[in-house]
Amino acid sequence: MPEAQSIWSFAVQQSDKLLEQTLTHIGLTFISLFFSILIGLPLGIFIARKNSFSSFVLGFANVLQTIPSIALLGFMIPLLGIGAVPAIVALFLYALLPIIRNTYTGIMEVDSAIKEAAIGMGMSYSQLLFKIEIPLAIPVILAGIRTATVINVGVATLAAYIGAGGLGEFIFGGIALNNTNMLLAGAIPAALLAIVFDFILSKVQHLNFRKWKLSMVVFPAIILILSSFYLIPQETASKLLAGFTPEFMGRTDGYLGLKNKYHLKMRTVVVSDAVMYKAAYEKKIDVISGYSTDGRLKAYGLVTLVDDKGIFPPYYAAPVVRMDVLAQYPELESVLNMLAGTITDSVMTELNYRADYLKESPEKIAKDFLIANNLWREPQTIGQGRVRIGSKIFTEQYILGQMYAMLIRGYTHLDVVNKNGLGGTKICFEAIQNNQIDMYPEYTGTGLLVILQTREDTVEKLSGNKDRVYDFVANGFKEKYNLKWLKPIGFNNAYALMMRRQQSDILHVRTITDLRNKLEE
Amino acid sequence: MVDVEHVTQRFGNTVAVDDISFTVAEGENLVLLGTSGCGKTTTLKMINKLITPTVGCVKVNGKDIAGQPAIQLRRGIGYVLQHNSLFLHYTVAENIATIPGLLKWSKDDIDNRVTELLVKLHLDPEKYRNSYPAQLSGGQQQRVNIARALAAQPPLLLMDEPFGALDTVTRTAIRKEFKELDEFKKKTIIMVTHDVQEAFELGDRICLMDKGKIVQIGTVRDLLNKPANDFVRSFLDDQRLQLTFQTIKLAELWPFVESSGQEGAMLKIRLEDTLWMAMQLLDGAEEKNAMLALTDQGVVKNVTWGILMQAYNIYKQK
Ligand SMILES: Nc1ncnc2c1ncn2[C@@H]1O[C@H](COP(=O)(O)OP(=O)(O)OP(=O)(O)O)[C@@H](O)[C@H]1O
Ligand SMILES: [Mg+2]
Repeated sequence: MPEAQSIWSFAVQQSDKLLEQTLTHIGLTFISLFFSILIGLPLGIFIARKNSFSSFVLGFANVLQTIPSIALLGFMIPLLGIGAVPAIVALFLYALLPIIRNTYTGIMEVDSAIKEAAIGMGMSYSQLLFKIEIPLAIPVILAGIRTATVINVGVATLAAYIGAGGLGEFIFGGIALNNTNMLLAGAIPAALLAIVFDFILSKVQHLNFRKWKLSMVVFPAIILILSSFYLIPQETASKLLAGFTPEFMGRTDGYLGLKNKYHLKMRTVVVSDAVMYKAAYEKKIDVISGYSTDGRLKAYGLVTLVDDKGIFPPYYAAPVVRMDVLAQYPELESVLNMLAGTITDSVMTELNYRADYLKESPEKIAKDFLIANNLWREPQTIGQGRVRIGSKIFTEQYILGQMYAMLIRGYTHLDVVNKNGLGGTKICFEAIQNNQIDMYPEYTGTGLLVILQTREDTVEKLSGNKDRVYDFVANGFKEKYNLKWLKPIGFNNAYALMMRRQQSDILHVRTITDLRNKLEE
Repeated sequence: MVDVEHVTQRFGNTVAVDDISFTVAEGENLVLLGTSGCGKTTTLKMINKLITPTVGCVKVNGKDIAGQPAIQLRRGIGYVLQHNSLFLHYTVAENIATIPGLLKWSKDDIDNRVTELLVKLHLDPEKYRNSYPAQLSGGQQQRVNIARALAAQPPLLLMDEPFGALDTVTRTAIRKEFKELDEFKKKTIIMVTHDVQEAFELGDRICLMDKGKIVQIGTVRDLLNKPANDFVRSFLDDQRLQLTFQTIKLAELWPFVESSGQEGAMLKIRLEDTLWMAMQLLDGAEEKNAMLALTDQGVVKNVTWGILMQAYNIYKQK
């Protein structure tokens, strides 16, 4: 079993991180559980006493639980920023329902004859509650705590999306990097935690009445101790905080490169791409790992830092076309090359921004651009032949796909079919190889690393030089796949470190080296 | 000790108890008897303030309970519920100690009292003290239930079908023990049942209820011999003969009994015993020619079944 072997060696190699993530995970789970019990238990008791509030409170807790976890975490960011606090609040809200509901039903289900006996014997309402109702409801309440714990262990993996750490860092890193060992190194401990806590709590739940008296003291103590795990792995603080995606954290042309080549020592949290730009805008984090043409760059007033040591491979976009199609329609190549060199990083960012934030259609954006650059022509009559244009499933590719379609219609008599949203690189590439599409826009870096799977030492030799990478990739595609790279469109959609424009100005940080120096001051 | 004066209890449209009045003297056993749903439990609960009467007043020790704090009142009244209501998370000892605990008795006093009650109710203290209710049989649970109500030595005891959940054999057995217990003898007891036999065995007086109203209150004999109406008569019909035999003492038949000339296996019985007991004794005897030896001031009469019946017939005509 080579797979199992390598998971193990991965876990051993990364044992520091694994331990840290596991402790953080346990800490997150139990801090939030502690507060859920602190609030949920009295609330459950309260609605069992004042029944008229029960449907309101239970209904509210129910609604909280139906909010998708990612969305709930998203709501937290504007209110509480990123990091442990919003994660704990979200987990707390999730754990609330099972605890309130079970406390309530547990008390309501106590045999009415027993309650009547207690009252008939002269117990006050508080004696009834503490001597009779709560003790008898404890198995049900514990079942609620058990459910809440298992839910929390699961949802806590998502905490990695908003910089709170936990085993989600490995899980989402593993997914993003297609690294099964990393994924399992996060997923297996998470599953084990759920199973172990479930098992322990099921044992507690079935203790007999006598032992409960003891467990009433021990149980809260254990929760508090487990909660404190979150405090242990805190790193030393630096002035600036970086938020990187799980994928970026695990890549040599990402965080690992920053550490090796720039010797960047920075406090980092792992966040999801979905919240990263906004969190930077809201000053929850200072440096992020983004894509240089992302429309959010403009939307949130961010600037990219110059990669002065060239650790991020160039991701210049260019159309990739089947050789046989170029031979069949000789007029095609020059038409597709009309875009070459016309779209710079900032222009592409602007176009993406118009699509993502101003909600303009890719067609309109493409047409406006062509008109502004004197490239637009009315469609010609359609004759023989047809070109199928593919695009990956993100904004930039939709826009480029539309531009190529308009150019072909305007300058040739060929018919055009757009096959948009073909998912990621793998799907697009397979479609073109299997003759399901004729062309699609690709990036040099992707071609180099993902499709050609170029060895690390070769990549090193190319040393991020944009022309040499382009030539290498173009050659490789021609020889291996009979596909041709046309001229680059102009922009480089590479990884980039980004900061708020304002902060970059104040600190005079323009390059990654500036950033490193600033941190070492 | 307890005065119920023109009490009515309504739940919405149902009138559970309809203008009832009765008095229970100190040391008396009053049995509330009646069909299901006639308002027995409701009446009982109005005495310890679990329910407040819609109309009317209840006095305990001559004082209207409406003006008394419920908690103090209840701690002074033993209460046995109709349904099994032991605290499942308390041991037998803890269950029994409930009210003494609420009254802050010392630990030693509580322990002694628990042991005393367990012994009196025929539960081995060593064995059952620390058991949980779930580990006891139904009959044992019911003993604990009764012990719990007796624990703080309340002068007044309310019991709602205390033997209701038990099978007939166990029930008869516990009832016998119960009658003999000194704990009960000096207490004022109001007990609910729908079992006529039980009512006659345990009650000094019987309060027969129907549809929320009291149909008749009186001794066993009153109900048998002077029924207030057809309801009383038909309520007792099924067990009339047995009940009658139970109310007649052998002393009353003495003048009409003639001694049998024959000899046989002699069984001893006292003149205070009832005709019913005499007949059960003869029934249960193993010997074929069993006879009872009745003795009054040195005179002995040997009696058979036939002789007893003959004497009863003469007694009835008189
Ligand atoms: N809390 C209540 N709400 C509404 N109706 C009630 C309530 N308690 C009792 N009743 C009604 O009052 C009537 C008398 O009930 P109660 O429990 O006193 O009867 P019972 O004589 O004890 O009957 P049983 O022998 O079956 O226990 C019944 O019709 C019952 O349905
Ligand atoms: Mg009843």
